[in-house]
Amino acid sequence: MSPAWTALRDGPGSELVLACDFATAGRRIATFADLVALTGDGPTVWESAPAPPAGSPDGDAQVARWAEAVRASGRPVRAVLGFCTGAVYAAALAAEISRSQPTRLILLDPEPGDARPMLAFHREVVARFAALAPPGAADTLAAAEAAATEDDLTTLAERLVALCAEVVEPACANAGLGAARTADYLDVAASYLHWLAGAGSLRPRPSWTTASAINSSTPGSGLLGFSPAERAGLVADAVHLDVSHEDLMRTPEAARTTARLVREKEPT
Amino acid sequence: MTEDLESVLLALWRETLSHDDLDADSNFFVHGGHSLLGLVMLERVQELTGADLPLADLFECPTPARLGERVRAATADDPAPAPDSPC
Repeated sequence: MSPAWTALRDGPGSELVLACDFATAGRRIATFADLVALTGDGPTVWESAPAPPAGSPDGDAQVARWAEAVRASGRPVRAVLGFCTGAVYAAALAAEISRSQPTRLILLDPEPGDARPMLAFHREVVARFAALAPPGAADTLAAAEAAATEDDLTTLAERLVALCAEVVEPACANAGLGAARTADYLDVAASYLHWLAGAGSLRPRPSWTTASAINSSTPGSGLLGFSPAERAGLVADAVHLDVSHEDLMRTPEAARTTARLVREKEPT
Repeated sequence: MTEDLESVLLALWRETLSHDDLDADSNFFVHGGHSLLGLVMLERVQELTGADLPLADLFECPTPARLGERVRAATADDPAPAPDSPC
């Protein structure tokens, strides 16, 4: 199959469920693989695979890459799912697919594309690697915050990759890791940061108004990150579960609700 | 995956994460693992099995049982084509 997608489940029939997320950043947060494992049998599920960091694709290019692979498969799309920032990509992908066939948009903790998760990722990198880096590595935090106030998201992504390298390269060297391992990690970081930045160039709101949402109870996550005024009408309907953002996709109730929506939601 | 390989990986999980109560289905990142620890552990995986796996393999297959499949594929004499499924 196309490298743009990874199969999470092979089901009967030709219908596809597409899931948008960046699952390969190394995180405690549950992934669509966890969710699908809880749903038992069902249609085939493909998860979006990150684009190679070379070329730093923008949001439209990321979506075009996935949509082309789906078109080439010739298979109908039952539903498009998106988690967190992946909800932005899911909206754009569903809009593209809806030009040729009706589909369903289902979002889990949908969040906009902006600088916040990019800065959070950089903070996480500093927290993990700074103990093995020279004194002053944490100074990059201030530089990152400053860059976020001045730069567009693509430029910010490039700046954050460079700031990550300032911490990661000496830390990896001090841990006895070779250049290839260091480059492997920085490629992952670049791919993730550009994926986050690309979401900022897309306009998901029109498609989100047709979507069903499943939201965690973590303050500030998903729909809870929007003001009450913004939240009204943001999605077509929402189910709120008393579970954390981190555990949402490893919760049986979230899996059951997702499976029900995939099965029963009217297409648009 | 052979039982020996699974035992080797499980021992690495326990050593890297400093937890004795892990099993073949324990998720590296849920039990305190992070990227730097992951890079160090993949070095040990290479030393012990000969498999030079990228970090993406650990992200996609974060348990001893699932990463074992990647190790087996990477060290097979005649490796099979990359699987469609993540692990």
